[in-house]
Amino acid sequence: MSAAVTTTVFATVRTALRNVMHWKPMLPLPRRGGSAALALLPLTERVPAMASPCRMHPSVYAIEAAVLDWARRTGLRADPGVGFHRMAGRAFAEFDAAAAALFAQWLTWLFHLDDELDEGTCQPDIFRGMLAGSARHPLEAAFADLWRVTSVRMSDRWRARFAVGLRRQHDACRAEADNRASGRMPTLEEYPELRRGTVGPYLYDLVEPCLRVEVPAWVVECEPWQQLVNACGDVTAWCNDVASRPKERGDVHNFVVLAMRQLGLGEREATAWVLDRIAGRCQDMRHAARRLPLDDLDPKTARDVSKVACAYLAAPRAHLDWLLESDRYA
Amino acid sequence: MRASLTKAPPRLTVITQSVSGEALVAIDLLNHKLDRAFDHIDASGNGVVEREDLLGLGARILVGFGESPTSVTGASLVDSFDDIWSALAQALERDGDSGIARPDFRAGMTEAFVTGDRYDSVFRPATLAVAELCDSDRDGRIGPGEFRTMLCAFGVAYDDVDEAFDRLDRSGRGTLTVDELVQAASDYYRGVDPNAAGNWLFGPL
Repeated sequence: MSAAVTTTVFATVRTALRNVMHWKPMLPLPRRGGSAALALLPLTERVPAMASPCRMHPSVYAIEAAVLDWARRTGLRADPGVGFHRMAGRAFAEFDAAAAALFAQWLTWLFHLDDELDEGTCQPDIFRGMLAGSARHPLEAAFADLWRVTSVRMSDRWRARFAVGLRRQHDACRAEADNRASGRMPTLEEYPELRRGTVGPYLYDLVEPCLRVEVPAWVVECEPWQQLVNACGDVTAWCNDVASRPKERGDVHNFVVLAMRQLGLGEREATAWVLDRIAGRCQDMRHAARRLPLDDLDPKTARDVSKVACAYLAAPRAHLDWLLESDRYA
Repeated sequence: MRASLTKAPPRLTVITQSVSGEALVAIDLLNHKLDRAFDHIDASGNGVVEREDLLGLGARILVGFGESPTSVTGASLVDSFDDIWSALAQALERDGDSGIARPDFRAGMTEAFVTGDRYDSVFRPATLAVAELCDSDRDGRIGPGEFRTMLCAFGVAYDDVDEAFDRLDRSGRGTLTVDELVQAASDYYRGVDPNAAGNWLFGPL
């Protein structure tokens, strides 16, 4: 029997025994008082791609110091307990510390933006300021600083791709704000596309400058690459929805909340419903990766493209590990 | 047409005719294979390999199979590739961030995995991880399609893959076992027998 088969069998037996011994239903819900992110734990036994924890970057403390220093300079809060440096340290564990630090700075900025938009302390109009190069708001100044460092390495095509992503996020945030104002609820069919926008689609484009590579435009535009990126975005966004559901305070823009409202499910069943979809999208990621046109690239480019694709394939587990440890979802 | 299983690879014959002693032939053969292994890692062709190049090969293999570095087998591959690099750097008494040129790569590989005792503990787990990736349905057998995916990741020319598979498929079943692939890797990376089927792991030498 191979090691992988043995591991799968042990995992299955372990799950079954655990459920029999505790006589609990196999639906996910964290223990009372526990982080909602704990409801995601069954994915580690159910989804092969999420079975092993991500390695941590050996220079994680230097990455943390770089992020704190940058946040102070740009006027953003950087709570060490939230640990964006640890998420970046996992996503870029195999690469140099500068790559991980840059990604952690972008995460710090993105989550600030998300919080301020949610709390209403800044309006979606801030995107216009960023696209125009304004630096009046700390978020605009931080964006300008990151953009200067990041974009210098990249082609005009990549910059255009990033700008399109930023505009998509603006449009999606505007749509959410309009929904809130009118009391409208997106349908379960509409929500994935909307959520792909609000999560910040350019986040996935940032892997390239952090690794100092650029995926050829025709590869980025091919169907398997788009599938891979979209499925990766869905998995991380929906995992985030499960972990952040207790923080929504009545906002319906959350996959678990929408499943409860539109399918008439209880919280436990709605979470299970979302987990089923997350597992399905993980399968989609695997199939999309296998169909990437790597054989049509020269060996060096194929390896560079593979590094970016590998970062996407590792993202669900890197994100899960962070959700489980971050104070943000405690 | 199935290739002869006892015949040495044609280009190896040239090597054996060009040297005098048997030991020298063995060393030439091994060095030749290690040079090919160097080329598998040095995708940019700049004559120096770095840790990132080896991890790039690992990433290319993983993505070819749609495998995440956070699956059990994927993590095993990443860890074992990293361990190979550490052992290589250690054998050459360098830190892990230094690049390694072709002659040093030969020397380090030989020191660590041929004359040294690190093959079973460090190198073999990497070959097992790659072989298990090829066995995607976990039935212990590797078909020509999976084998091609693996060899393409190493940069082997498309036309060489079928011949390599036929040479390794000694029984003519049309599949390889995981154990056969692991043994072929051992023949390739540290074997000195010019007639070993494993010399064909990456096609004609």
